[in-house]
Amino acid sequence: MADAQAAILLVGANARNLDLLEEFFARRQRHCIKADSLARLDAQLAAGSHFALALVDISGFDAAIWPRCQKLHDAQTPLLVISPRQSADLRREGLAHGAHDVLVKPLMMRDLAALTETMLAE
Amino acid sequence: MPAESGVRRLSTGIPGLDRILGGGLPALGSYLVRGGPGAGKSTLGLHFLSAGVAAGERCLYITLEESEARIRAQAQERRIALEGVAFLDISPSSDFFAEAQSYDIFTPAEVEREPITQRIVTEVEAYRPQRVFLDPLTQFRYLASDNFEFRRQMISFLRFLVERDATVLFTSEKSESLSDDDLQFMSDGVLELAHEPLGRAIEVRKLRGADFQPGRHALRLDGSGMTVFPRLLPIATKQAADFAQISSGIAGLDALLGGGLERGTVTMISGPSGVGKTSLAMQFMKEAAARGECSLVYSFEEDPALILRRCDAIGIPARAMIAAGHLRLSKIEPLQYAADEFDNRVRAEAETYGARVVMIDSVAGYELCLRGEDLRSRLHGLAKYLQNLGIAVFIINEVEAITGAFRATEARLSYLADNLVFLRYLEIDGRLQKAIGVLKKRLSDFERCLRAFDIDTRGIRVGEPLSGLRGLLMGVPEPRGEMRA
Repeated sequence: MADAQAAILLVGANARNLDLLEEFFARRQRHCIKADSLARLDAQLAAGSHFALALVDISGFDAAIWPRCQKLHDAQTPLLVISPRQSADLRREGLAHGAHDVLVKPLMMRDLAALTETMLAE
Repeated sequence: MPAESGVRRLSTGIPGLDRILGGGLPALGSYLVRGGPGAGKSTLGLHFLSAGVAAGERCLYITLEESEARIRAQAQERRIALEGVAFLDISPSSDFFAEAQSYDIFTPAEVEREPITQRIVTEVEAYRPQRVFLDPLTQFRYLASDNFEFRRQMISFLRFLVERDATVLFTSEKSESLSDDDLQFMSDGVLELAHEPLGRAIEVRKLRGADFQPGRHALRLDGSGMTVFPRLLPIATKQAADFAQISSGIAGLDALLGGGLERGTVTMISGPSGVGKTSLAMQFMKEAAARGECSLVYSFEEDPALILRRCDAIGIPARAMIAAGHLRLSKIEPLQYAADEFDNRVRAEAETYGARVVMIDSVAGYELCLRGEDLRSRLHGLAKYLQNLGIAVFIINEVEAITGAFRATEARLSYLADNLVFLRYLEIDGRLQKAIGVLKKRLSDFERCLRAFDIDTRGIRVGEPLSGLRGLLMGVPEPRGEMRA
């Protein structure tokens, strides 16, 4: 079982998306920390916080998001990248920077629940 | 209102629609109202809820599109009382757009359905409405991941409401690109509203386990809300036959008619323009007034003032008859009336005033109300309805030909008439004269000859039979002596 106290890091440029993800995890008794800009993400990384899981929605970010994904991976944070569209290039980039998987929006709640619960359990 | 079957009926708040439904919507069912934009779906729902409040029931309006404030304003415009109606407003507020709350992480179906469902369940459990109007239910389609899920959810949702003792009316937005067939199947009844260039109409397409009056019925939407005009059905008024003969008050005419015309019969008076058809029918009304009876005239072409002036000129005291309540003269603008609306007006007035004589003047004017519908069947329905009330019905039918080969009617209408009286012009010795004859009379014998017919300041005069002439029906008679072998 993963650390029950550790939060889930939610990264994305769309505040409403982050709120919905937060509500989704709150219903599963999981605390989340949100970062809606690269600067806020950098602040979390600099603080050395430990996260049970990170979900990074790359929509609205440029290529500068990939080194941050790499840093999360290097810090042993299980990582899911969320892509706005089906793209082989984005998938390759995501996996190359440490993503456990690259999911395409819109996500199905049931599938996301199954996947994250498995990852958190590991 | 209990129906014959014992199922309790709920008034829709629209009397004409209740009649079509056989007393109203069977309680504890769910009914679909479908139609295009502006067809009147929401107005029907407002009437339904208003009638519920008037009956002391708890009523709930669930809106997924229009705001409560806007709906209340619309109800006020249509003078429909909504006091006492509870609202559950799930329509999107302006903040939805202004605050950029758009998202794409999950589908709207997944995000919106649960909170909406929860709000409805909470409200219904707390308020326990007996009538629910859901407008439009099709919004839920966007909250389902596919058609199968939508159908399952809606069946379950409607059952949830009905099991809590609610009668549910819900709307769908009908369009060619988005079918609502599934909703039709799952509902207990389907009311279809049409808004077409030729007019508005309503049709009950389905009413599970209950009789209803099929077919399209005209409706009007105005400042008083929705009014429905059920198509007249003659069988609905069948009364004991009353075929007492009534006199025209003119000896020659009575002789021609075998004693007069019978009550409860339809008389078609046919003839060219200006020959005296309307005046002839007015003569029967004059006699009816003398007996203290009420007559109704519906004039599609002539202004009542003109009819009154002509009556003045030929000794028919129409003004006095009106003053005494023995005559009601109405001008009908055919383009403002649908046939069902006109028929219902005639029905209502005939019943209200206990009319014994009714004149429809004329066939051509009535035909304009029909907007292309079948003239014979519609006129048949109206005439037979009145006939079954024991009313003497006069239908004025203008034929275009002034002289020439005889045709009693030009629209194959003669079968409608129990009595077929015709007026025509004759040229005798180079002078134009009028003649009257009878082609058909179902309930008595009649003269098989023409009589001279004239109208002057002394009134209508019907002379002796025209004898010694041949070719009368051709309009240019010749003395019998000139007959060729």
